[in-house]
Amino acid sequence: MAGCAGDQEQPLGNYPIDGDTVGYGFNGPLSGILAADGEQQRDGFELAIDHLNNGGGLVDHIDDLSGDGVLDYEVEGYTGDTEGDENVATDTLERMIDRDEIMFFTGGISSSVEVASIPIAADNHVVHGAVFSHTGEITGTDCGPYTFRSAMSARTSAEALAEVLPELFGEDQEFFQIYLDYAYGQSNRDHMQALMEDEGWTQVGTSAIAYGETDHETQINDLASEEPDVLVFTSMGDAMASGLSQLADRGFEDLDVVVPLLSAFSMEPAGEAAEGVVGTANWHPSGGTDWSDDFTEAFEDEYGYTPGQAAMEVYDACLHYSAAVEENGSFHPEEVAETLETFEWEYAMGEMGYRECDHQATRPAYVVEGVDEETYEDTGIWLDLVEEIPGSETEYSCDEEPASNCEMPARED
Amino acid sequence: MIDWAISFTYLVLSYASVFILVAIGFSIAFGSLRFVNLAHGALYLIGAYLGLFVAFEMEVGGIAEAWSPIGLGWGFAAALLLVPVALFAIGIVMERLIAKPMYDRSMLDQLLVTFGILIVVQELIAILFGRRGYTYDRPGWASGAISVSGVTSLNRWRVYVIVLTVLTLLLLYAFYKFTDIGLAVRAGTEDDEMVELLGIRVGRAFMLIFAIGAAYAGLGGILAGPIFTVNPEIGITEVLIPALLVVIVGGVGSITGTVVAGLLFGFVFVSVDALLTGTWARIGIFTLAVVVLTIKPTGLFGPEEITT
Amino acid sequence: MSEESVTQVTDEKASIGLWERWDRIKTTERFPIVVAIGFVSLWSWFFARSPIISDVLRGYHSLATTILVWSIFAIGFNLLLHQTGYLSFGHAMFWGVGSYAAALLAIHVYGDPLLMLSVGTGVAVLLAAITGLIALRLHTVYFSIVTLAMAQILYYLSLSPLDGLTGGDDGLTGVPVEPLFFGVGNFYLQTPLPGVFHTLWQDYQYLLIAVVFVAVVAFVNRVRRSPYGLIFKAIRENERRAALVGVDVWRYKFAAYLMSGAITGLAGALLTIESQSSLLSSLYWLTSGEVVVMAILGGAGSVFGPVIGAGVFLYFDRVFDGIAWAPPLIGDITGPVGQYWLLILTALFTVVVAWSPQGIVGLLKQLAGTVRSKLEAATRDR
Repeated sequence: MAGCAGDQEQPLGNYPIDGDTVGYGFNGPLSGILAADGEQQRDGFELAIDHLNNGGGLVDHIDDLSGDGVLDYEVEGYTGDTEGDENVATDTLERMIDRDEIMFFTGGISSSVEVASIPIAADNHVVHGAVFSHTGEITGTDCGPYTFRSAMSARTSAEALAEVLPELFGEDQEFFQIYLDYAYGQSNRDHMQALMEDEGWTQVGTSAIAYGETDHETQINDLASEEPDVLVFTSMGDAMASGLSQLADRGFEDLDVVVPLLSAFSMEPAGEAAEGVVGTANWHPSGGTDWSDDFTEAFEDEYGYTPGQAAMEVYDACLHYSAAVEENGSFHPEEVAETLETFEWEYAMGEMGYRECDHQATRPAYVVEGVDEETYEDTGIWLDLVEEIPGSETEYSCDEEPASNCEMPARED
Repeated sequence: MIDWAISFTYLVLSYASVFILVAIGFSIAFGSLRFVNLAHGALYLIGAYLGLFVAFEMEVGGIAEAWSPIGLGWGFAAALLLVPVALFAIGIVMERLIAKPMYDRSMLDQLLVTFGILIVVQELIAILFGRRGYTYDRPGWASGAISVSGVTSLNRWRVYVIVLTVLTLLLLYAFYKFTDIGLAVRAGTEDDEMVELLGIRVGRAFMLIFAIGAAYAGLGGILAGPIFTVNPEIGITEVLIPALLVVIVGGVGSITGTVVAGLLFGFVFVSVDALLTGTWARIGIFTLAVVVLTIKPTGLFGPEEITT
Repeated sequence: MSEESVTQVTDEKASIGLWERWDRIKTTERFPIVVAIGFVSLWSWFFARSPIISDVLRGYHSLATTILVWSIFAIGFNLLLHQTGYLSFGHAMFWGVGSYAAALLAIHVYGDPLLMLSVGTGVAVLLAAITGLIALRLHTVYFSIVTLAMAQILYYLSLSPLDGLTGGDDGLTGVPVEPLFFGVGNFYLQTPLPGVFHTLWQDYQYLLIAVVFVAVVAFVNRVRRSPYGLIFKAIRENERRAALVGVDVWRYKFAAYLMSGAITGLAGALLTIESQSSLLSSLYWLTSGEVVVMAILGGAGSVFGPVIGAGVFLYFDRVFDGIAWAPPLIGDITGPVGQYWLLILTALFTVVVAWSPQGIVGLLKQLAGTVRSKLEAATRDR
């Protein structure tokens, strides 16, 4: 722990820390359509801060964490509302870095916001715990020296689905893809095509819909002419909801539908139409390790509702960052980043660990399924757990896309 | 071959009917009253939300969450009838309070004030009910598919919407051509002072036609709303921008122009989407608007020139 | 006459002289420039670091610079609106194109700030020339909608088909901005200034933005006061009549449109320098809508109106929206005050358009006028 005293004392970013408190930042959508997930994330964030300072929840299980602050500093949580907009998000982030002198930030749903945060984290030497956002670029073309994604990447989900879908829907299925017409949708289409064809399925066609468009009539028409067994639908939010409803109205309510990433802001507006839709999530309360229940209990006690992946991801990010800091012995950003690059942990979601080439965590994927309205009213959760796929089966190598697109920049002074 | 033709026609009519439906109310106000009413998007929005609350009992977010579930639960059919009527009433109020004082102001001022009102209404709805999307839980007769020629399946509700759009258009034509009020409005648009001097209460006629436009906006909300999700932003993204484009491409003052432009947009959208992708289809729509207006600056069926 | 009344008369003359002098100063051409220089000199410090005020305002330096950059955007937009009466609902296209052009230059060639500004402005002017030829032939409302359509074309092109160039939904981030003057003197923009200058202005980047701001104000001011300004006024009031009198209306409209596009493109390039990124949202219609609100809310008739509008808008958007305080008693129902920011802002905007076309500046002037006449009355009856 004494280590290289010279390096440790070099000021870098907001290090060294003034006073007795250290700032953690939450930068996520607390208004706008993404707020459903954003607010849950914020609740997870505040619970984590509480447990780090006062003990409780999973902090009690983790040896590295004392429950009395981190490295004798009290953790102070700061929140910024990104409104799901990159301009606002970069401002709120810079505010937290400038005025609140945060050492770490997490939260966020929108991938473009996440991507915009990466260079800010790099320039200011602040550790960025990327959660939720699925797009390959965060640990691909846009990878950053201080950005670490603990959530699934689109590829992770695709790998998990490739494992499970043949079991669920059968072998030798014909599938059609409807996807959002921009980078995220396009790369997901490519992953799914490659992986499902490896499993013996046949892709019979694809149709792209403009990002922001909710009228899927032409895409459904294309689908109708191919008569597939399964639809892979790379969409989210209101667009996903309208698409599913329009599908039902064209007589396709019995078609098996796969949506790569499922979460509250997509499931809420979809309602009944999302029943039976299969996809992946970062966590599910009825799955994970033994620690899942402890987290769920602590969360329900505090907030009165059952947490989902949004809260879990942020909570986990705060905790494993803190554990890495404890292991390193200081908050020095460059050293903590180095520690994180080979950091492994297993809290509630399963075995997880970062890797140096792209800072993507190898981790489990939770294959989930949409429930019907009645079940939702009973349990308060939109999703049912189908199967957990461990990290060993969802990982992809540094030579494969999107990791191969990552040229990890060096950490500069 | 027949199959493809049916498919294509259905698609074009589907998209066109939505374009026309959201544009008609705006076209009426802009055309007959020379009043730029961007709050038309707000009327559509109110129609869509009102329909939800009349038909069902909704679990809501926002401030109203405390009183959730909210709604009358009278069913979808009741909503279809009541929403246009309610919006008609709102239209009357709106015409007296907002439109009338603004008739003499420049179109630009009207545009800006009504734009402000649109956003205010949007924000109120968002704060009251939350920003998430809601879907219409339509009954059996209003959802599902119909099969045509035994092979293609079409969205039953969209077919109804196409039919209803045609009916409402015919009604509108009839109103203008065959009723006294319609005549008064047409004359009043030309020269309202003269019409007043002739003893016809133009103000009354204007109020009526504005309210009819509002009713159409509401009808649009409850007809087209169920095809997509209903959220506070649709007033602008799904209604206003397409409506503005359709009306000006068609030519201000001409319902025929609005219809033709709507069909044209539907045709271009579906064709480009089939040949390229959805994004190009959107680009195609906007490009069409720019091209048409470059050739004929007042729109397809527009007057020779427009006075502010 | 007694001595007292003599002194009284001379005192009156002196105080009237003071007001007259102030009036005269206000109308000189230099006045707005001096005000601009004074404003930018103190703005960042006032908003982000001043002892009590900055804490009450919860300001921070990067928002102060954001406000300056958007102010330039709003001034550019307003040049077109105020001089010709044409309201563009697609000005985001100049802002976004200027921003992307600067970013692409920096990424693929070299990121010298002044070069980026020139290229951003130049490309925006080019776009203005092309779009102006089409749009300016149209009636005002049509113009507004067509400019919206044009901006949307660029938006969708950048989202998908051209995303190899523009970065699509994620935009271009990590834009490499080099030191000023091609490295001569090592003027890295982020380098802190020495001593008191650091407290006032922080770094060279702020100086750059401040200089551009003052230059733009000077330029717009010049245009308003020149013979061009008079002709524009004539066109604004009645285009047909101006044409009948022999004014080449088209030429002037076009010139105003190009100037407006140029300034907006300049602001966009400045945005890229300031944020080291070029985002897709810079082309979106919402952005066009925001600058419309800024200019009109602030006061479209004055040079500084848009600046005030930009400040107020961004303040509400970035600071006010974070206020978690809820009013007593009804707080449980209404929730935090911050979520009402857009509602309040647009309500203000609507009221302004309906009743106070001169915007906040107009209200301030009225206020100043009332205060002053009260003062004058007080000093007179002594």
